[in-house]
Amino acid sequence: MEANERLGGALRKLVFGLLLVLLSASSACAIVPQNRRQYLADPSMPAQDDGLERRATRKFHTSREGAAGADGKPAGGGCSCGN
Amino acid sequence: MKARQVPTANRRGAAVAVGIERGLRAARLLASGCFWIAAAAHAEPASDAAILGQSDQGVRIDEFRLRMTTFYQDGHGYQSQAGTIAGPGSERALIVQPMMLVGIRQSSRIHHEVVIPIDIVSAASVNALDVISHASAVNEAIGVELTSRFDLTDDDRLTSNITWHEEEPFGSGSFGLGYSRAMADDNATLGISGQATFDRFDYLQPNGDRYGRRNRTALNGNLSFLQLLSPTTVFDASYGLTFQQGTLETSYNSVPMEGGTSRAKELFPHSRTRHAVQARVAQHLPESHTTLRAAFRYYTDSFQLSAHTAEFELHQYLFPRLLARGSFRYYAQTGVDFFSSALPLQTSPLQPRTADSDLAEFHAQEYGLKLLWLVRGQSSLDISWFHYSRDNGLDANIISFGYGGGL
Repeated sequence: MEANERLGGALRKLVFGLLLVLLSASSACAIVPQNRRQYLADPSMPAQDDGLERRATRKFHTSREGAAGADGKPAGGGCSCGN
Repeated sequence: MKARQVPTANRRGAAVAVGIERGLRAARLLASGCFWIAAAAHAEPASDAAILGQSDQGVRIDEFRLRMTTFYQDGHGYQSQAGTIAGPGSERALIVQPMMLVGIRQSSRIHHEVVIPIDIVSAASVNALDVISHASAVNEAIGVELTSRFDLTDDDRLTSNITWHEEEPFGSGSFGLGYSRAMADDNATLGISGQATFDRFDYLQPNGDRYGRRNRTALNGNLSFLQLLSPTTVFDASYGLTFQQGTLETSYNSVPMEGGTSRAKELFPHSRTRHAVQARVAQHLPESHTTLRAAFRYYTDSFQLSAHTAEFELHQYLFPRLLARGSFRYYAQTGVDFFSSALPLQTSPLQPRTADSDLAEFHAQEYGLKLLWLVRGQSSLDISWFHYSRDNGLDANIISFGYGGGL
């Protein structure tokens, strides 16, 4: 019960933090002009990640660990494993 | 017409000046603390088309990728019957996973992506019912995933996805919708998405018998946010909520009973609510042609399982077209509150129980290396290796080859 409350408290703080970031982003100013983004398109940056590699890695982790999610995909289902 | 003659002394002086300038530039790079090899390497700037997007040329294939991944794992888990009745059984398995991705641009505002994944699971022990069905020693699975993007305006994007997956004792279908809005001249992007997944599977028992079919459903919602912090820094954060309902256990898993003479069938609660929050940052260092990436995820669910995941990556250009990546991942989870490796004899048959090593308390470490060769244009060839190690008795090696990219 105590562990449950502790987890709930931690989760509330994290969600609150995320909402704070979202709110601050809604008033974001243009700090990086379009003509200065060549490094953001580098193959080593997240936007250029290989979707198939990401998929294979995710499947490996979700079928061997109890945690998943926060990557735009459901944390469960679609797999014959019960994790 | 005669070319203008430059006096020899002047040419020598100019060459010396250029040499000195190059030497100073190299010294500055070395003094800045970058790797020596990076002094000769540089990232090729992305083409205008890659940054600004292609013009409208009708329907065409604009991306093609192939990947072959092989997982070999060895270890022991109490849910497996490939051992003694009371002890953990083998979880040894070899999984071969070829995949193909095709990107289709329908117009300047509509894009589709088709992924075809195939899984071939070969268990070393034919008694390992937790890995395979009793019908064969090899289990094959195939699926199709279609993701479509619709750019409603320059700032608003709608995405949809439909997935179908089929394997010997199991079938699954899902669909989802998402919306994202770019703000502040594309410096920030907010996204929201939802997905529903419907699974249907044979109700296989630990002794191999089949009792009809069972279902489970997963409903999922996501919030995401991306922010450019500088010309070389990207930050993103996301939250995911998943609600599952139905037969959630792996029906052929079993739990050793106290005394070591028998096993009971695994049983999960009928529903599960899962929360996950993640934050990631990526920093490119142009002078040394290095990219550093870090990520953290916190997870909790109604089974009382909570987990922390930390990931670090170092990407380094060794040569202009050769990129190396080193990575480290640390994962720690508490077990579910109904985990037991020796179930008391007086336990009610309706009380949830599991001995699945994936749901026990453990820590896991993973480290990996990858080499990516930028072949030409936007195509690349890569090879990677990971080693995954859990402190409750599971080790795995993953080797992956990939080829493809934008066309």
